[in-house]
Amino acid sequence: MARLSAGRALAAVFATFLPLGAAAPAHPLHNSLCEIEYVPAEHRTKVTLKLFVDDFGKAVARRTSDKLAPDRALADAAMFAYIRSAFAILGKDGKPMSLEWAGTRRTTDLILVSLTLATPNGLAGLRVQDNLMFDMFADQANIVQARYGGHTESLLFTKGDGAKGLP
Amino acid sequence: MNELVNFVHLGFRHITDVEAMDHILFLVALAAIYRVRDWRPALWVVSAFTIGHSITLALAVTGAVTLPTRLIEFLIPVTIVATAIENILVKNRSAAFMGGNYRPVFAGVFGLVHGAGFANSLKSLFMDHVAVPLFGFNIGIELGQVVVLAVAFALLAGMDRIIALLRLPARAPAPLRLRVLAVSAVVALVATRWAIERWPG
Repeated sequence: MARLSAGRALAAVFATFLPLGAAAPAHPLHNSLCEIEYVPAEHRTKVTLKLFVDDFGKAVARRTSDKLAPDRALADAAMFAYIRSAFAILGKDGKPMSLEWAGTRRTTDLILVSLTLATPNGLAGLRVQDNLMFDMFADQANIVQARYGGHTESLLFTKGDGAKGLP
Repeated sequence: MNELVNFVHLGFRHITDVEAMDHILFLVALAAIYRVRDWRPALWVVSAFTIGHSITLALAVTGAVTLPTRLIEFLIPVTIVATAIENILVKNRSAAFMGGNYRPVFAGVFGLVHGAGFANSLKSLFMDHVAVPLFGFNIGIELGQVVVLAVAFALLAGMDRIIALLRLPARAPAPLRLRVLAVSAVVALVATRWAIERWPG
């Protein structure tokens, strides 16, 4: 094999690896948490989506209007529309069940979105789809924790995942 | 159990993702001075890093300490630059301070900084029930580190093969030293740029 000059080899190493510095990622966790709780007395289910407000704001703004700034107060209707486009609880017939808006709360860096839905037969056998922010971040991962029937079921959604069942 | 597995998955993704290049480069800088046959001291150093980041991850996620995000994000590339510079400056480790055995100490201290970086987002989401997410995420990070180090050692071994093909001047450094210098210089340059861009001022 031909021997390389040291200078050329070093130049090749630098040329290969220096582009790593092109971006300076702060490497945030692109995650969200969805807590689903069945309330037997009401035959209803409460859903709380915990979303990083920066990420969620950008996702809603991109869907609603390119001119909407990420930190602008987001209208409930715009948020709900985005959520329904990416999040669903599917009935046993495979169709999305009707989600009802129940308001939002803010913490320092999170927005907590509350939803409710009628689940007369409980959660067992239903399916969940959580694609929130998959349109924004390739590394987005969403955790769903469903509490029903005395136990907690945990589901992890990453890009490309379909709906997942609640046993 | 499936909750634990999900958080292991999250931790593994977090450290092996291309966007985790800052943590990955730190591991590369730590590994740069070792050959495969030096796996024991390498393991000590990486274990110390693990202990360090586990401590701050636990402290931050449980709310025991509050860490300024922007400062932490700045300090992470600083730890990388410092490690790379140490690689460059120390030519003879057996003649260095503590016989060169101080490396696990600084890996542990720098691990404290990286753990704070891991914690910043995790704590917001999982403050209510933190034990399983914290434990699973940490296991995932450790498994990811093993994979990153295995790949790093393979690449470093490949680099050694390339260096063996070079026409080196008679007074050139030894091949291992040459590899340490090349890898550390590139890592230091990249991390310096990150540190400048993340300056918290």
